[in-house]
Amino acid sequence: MMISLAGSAPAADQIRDQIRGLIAAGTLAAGERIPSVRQLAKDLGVAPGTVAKAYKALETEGHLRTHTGGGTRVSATASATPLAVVEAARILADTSGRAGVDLEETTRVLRAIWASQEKDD
Amino acid sequence: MPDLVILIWFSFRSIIIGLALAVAWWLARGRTSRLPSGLTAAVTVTATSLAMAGLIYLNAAIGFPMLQPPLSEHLPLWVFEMRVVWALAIGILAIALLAIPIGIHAPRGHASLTRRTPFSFGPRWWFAGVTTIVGTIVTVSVLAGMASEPDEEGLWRNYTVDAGSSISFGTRIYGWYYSVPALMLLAALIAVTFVVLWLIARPSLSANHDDDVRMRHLRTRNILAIASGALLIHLGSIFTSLSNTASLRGGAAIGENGWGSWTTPFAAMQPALLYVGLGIAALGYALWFGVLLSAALTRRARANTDRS
Repeated sequence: MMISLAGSAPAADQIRDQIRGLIAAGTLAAGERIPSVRQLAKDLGVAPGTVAKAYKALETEGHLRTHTGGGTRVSATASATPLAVVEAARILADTSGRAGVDLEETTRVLRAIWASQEKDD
Repeated sequence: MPDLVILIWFSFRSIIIGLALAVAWWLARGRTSRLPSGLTAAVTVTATSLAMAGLIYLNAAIGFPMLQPPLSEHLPLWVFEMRVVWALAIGILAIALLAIPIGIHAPRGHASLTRRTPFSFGPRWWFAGVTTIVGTIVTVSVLAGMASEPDEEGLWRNYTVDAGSSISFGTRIYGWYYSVPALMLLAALIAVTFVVLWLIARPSLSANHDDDVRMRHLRTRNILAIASGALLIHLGSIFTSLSNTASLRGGAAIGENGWGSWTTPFAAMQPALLYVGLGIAALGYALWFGVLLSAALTRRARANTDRS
């Protein structure tokens, strides 16, 4: 889940577009916490105000919500993928990667388990 | 010779059992989470070796007085009287050393959208475990402190059993005299651990994302292991100290020919306090030895690989 700055577009727009894209793709789950303005600004090498501007725009669009002391999270209505599912998928991808099982094989196993569980239900 | 073996066993039994547990863990699972060779492994070996050597030396100096340092008469007495806080003090130094290497926050034009906090690279159950141990230490310290009384020097380390008719028996207990400095060191240990975890988590991830994340997981695990080990050794010392208090027995003549004997209200718990204390301390030493093995044996393994 990386974002990068490239090209001549304003940094705030690039940050906003990439986070919006990750939410739309389901890579960022509903309710998931994202880095603080300070952390993201330092990592990207931009002014904190640039990241704050991107976050503010996403908040206005309803993609993010900020709570005092609770950080910034993906809005519950912005992503259709529940956080628990995304976290479990990340663990599965990580486990498969460490075991040397490729995406195709992992998907096949997941489909088989899914089918057997549906049968049980 | 057998006397020496018995003395060594009673002086170091928690350390010996801890070493055995760590070797068993290493053979079963430890080799899968080795530190790669380099500065981090070297610092880890140095910090844990110094910590273990310091604690083993201080424990040895109790069983073998000839090993005590030839310093002033008062300093060694105070140092050895406060042996219950050694693990905390040494643990703080070891954890502070494990902050090396301190990463730099270099902007790279790209960033991970994962939050990095002091808790990001360690398993939740381990943080919960540390919290539980801290809670147990504070609870036991407060209960023992409340049971303590000031001695003739006004130091809160006395425990007396009232036998009536102006007869009472007393002994030392882990009272406020010991527990207040220990609780202050406990707070310092938590603060240093938090700061070092923050220093590990804070820098931006390097271009080699996976290796960087893996190294941060290993370093966080080692910090938590050293902190948990220090806390467990400290808790074990408290239980062992309380078992000594529980073993108080007193007797006094009653009337012309009578004889009465008294014990502490928690005398029945004495064996449990002793063995639980030794077991908890052994677990703490096992965590320290485990960190040492994960760094030291990796270095050798890598060196062999390089030679071959």
